[in-house]
Amino acid sequence: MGIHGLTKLLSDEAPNCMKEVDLDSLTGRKVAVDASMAMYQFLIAVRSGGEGQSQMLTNEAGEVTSHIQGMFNRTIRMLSKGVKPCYIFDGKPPQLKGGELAKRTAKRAKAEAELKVATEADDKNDVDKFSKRLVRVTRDHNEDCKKLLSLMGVPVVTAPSEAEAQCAALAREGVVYGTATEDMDALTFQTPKLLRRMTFSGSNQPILEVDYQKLLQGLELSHEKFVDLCVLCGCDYTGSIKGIGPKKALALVRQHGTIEEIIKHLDAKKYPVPDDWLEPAERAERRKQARQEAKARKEARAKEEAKVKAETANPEAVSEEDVQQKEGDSDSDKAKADTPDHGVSVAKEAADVSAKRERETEDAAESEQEMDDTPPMYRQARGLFLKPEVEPAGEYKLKWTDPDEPGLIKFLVEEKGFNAERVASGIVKLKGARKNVSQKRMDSFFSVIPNPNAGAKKPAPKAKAGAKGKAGGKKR
Amino acid sequence: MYEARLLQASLLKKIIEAVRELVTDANLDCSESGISMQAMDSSHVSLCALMIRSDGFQHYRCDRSLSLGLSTGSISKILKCAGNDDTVTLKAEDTADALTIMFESPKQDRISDFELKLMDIDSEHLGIPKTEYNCIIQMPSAEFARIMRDLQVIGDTCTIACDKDGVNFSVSGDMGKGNIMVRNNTSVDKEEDKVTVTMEEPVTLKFALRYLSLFAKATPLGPTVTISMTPDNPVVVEYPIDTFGYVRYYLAPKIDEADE
Repeated sequence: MGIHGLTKLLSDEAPNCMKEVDLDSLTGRKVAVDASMAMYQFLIAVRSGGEGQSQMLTNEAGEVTSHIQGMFNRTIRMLSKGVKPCYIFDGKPPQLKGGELAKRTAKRAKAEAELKVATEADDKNDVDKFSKRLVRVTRDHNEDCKKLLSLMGVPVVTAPSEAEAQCAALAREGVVYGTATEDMDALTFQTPKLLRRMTFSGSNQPILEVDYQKLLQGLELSHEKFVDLCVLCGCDYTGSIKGIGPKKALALVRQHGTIEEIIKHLDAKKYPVPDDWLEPAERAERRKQARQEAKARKEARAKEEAKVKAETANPEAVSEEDVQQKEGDSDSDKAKADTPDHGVSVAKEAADVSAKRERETEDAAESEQEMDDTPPMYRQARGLFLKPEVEPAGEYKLKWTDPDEPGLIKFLVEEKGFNAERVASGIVKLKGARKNVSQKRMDSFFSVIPNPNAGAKKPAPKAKAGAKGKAGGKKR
Repeated sequence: MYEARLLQASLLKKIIEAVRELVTDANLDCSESGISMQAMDSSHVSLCALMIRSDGFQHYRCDRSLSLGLSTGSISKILKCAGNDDTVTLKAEDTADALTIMFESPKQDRISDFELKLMDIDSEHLGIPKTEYNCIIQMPSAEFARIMRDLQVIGDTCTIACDKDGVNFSVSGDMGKGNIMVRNNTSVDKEEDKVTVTMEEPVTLKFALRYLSLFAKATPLGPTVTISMTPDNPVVVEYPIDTFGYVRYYLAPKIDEADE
């Protein structure tokens, strides 16, 4: 998920872009929430069953309700704090994500197998661990949540493709303040603000706000370079170069600017660039080379075989020679010249046949490969980050309305088997929260300006310490 | 070098008490013209602007503009150590990381000084445009404080409606409704008991009572308060500090989505 190692890189290299903010400071803000991320969290975290917490919440019919429960409560908590959430659901995953998705499916299959083992061994911890790994957000979960949210009067948007990209687009156009997700991708999609830990749980844990502009300043990169950095670090859409971690990637991007340049300057032996990162021509070249090497190897092998064959053939030739020599010296020269050739040509013929066969198969492969003119994967991934498939924000009318009380009761209590009293108290809170939502913020009337007195800040701490000593001395 | 000497420590105490609950940390900007401060509450819903002009000080010296990051809670604790008639002197070196606060008793027989560590506060500064307000209400500050206190019993959102006859503060909550009407009243003995409404057009706005009642903490600063409103804009609640300054509060209104 997200960009590999980016969080740590940012806290090391651009600490200024991250700040912990109070829950209160988001009052009156509109925030785009990555719904898939939220649902996934609920399915993992909202569980019952005591100690191991291995059971997801279910209703009488056995349907999972963790996500509904979580979504209902968190949304109410957000609204009570005066935050207006707008949930963005994933659309069709981009083609490039196929690899990543396949990997996840494989992981899930593995977890499933391990879960079986753990269940048989009755190891509660492991059962818990692996059953959490099996969690997956399905279409039904999505539909449940969309229905719930629209009944609650909260706007829901289905992105054409990736939800983070759509969130970022809404934030960039100023429709919302920022993107609430744990996924660092949102930054690569240029969300002006990324809000992490937007759980609004009772613990009052502060929210981590990442400011995109400050991030670029801190890393000293342009947006395009930052995207390349993210691709190098490892994103959801393509593999990366082995041996290059976030730190190295940052150094390389700073030095060379683009992945194209980096690849040119990279020590190919130390950091092998994956095939699908090469230009089609280079890729063909590399394949050709590989084929040639393979061919050379085969030929070498064939030659060796031929040699062996020739050696076995030679004794005959020698005997022939002898005969010929006996027959006449005048002929012997010719025969001498002839026979070795003959031996080789036999071997050659054998080699030729096998080589021909190989070449035939290779030719088939070659023609297939020559068709492969897909641009390098990193460029595709970059394209996806720079021009993601999103709807312009103007397409959406985000409206927060009063909750549909009978609708909610019908859906939650009758259909999903929730406790009627709890739902009722939730609705009361929801209605109360509606009032908070109307509170405006100061900065929606007065614009932020640089502090006219900012120049009056104190100098470096060292000087301060000295001054303090002096001041103290004077007084005493 | 920065030095500012104020005759009454109690005045500074009142000023700090007026902002302490609303704003926890703030930068005091000290310049040649005086001390100013601008800060928002943690929700960024209200803003507090403070000005004490240099002519209000008995002695004022500012060689270089300074920004002193303070915890309002801490300075309030130190100010509690001052006697009511004490004079107070604020001192700071140009490169100081602490503010020295000195109290002197009227007879000069007791001198105490305290050092308050400064903080680096990263705060947003808002540009406040000059606004022509449609309604300006001047009323006794104690009256305003009382109305806020009374209404808070009923609910959390106060509707302030102003027309030519006066101002109507109303609230509704789970247990019922409340309504307090204050009429234009200029025929009183004391100047400060007057209620005057200067109005171009009637205005009705809704506000969170919590903040309005925090503003009322400034009541000890003076007998009158001025409330200025204009549609779809923050209200301004201003308490003058004698003749040489003010504490102004701005509060963003509540606007229902449907009204937008």
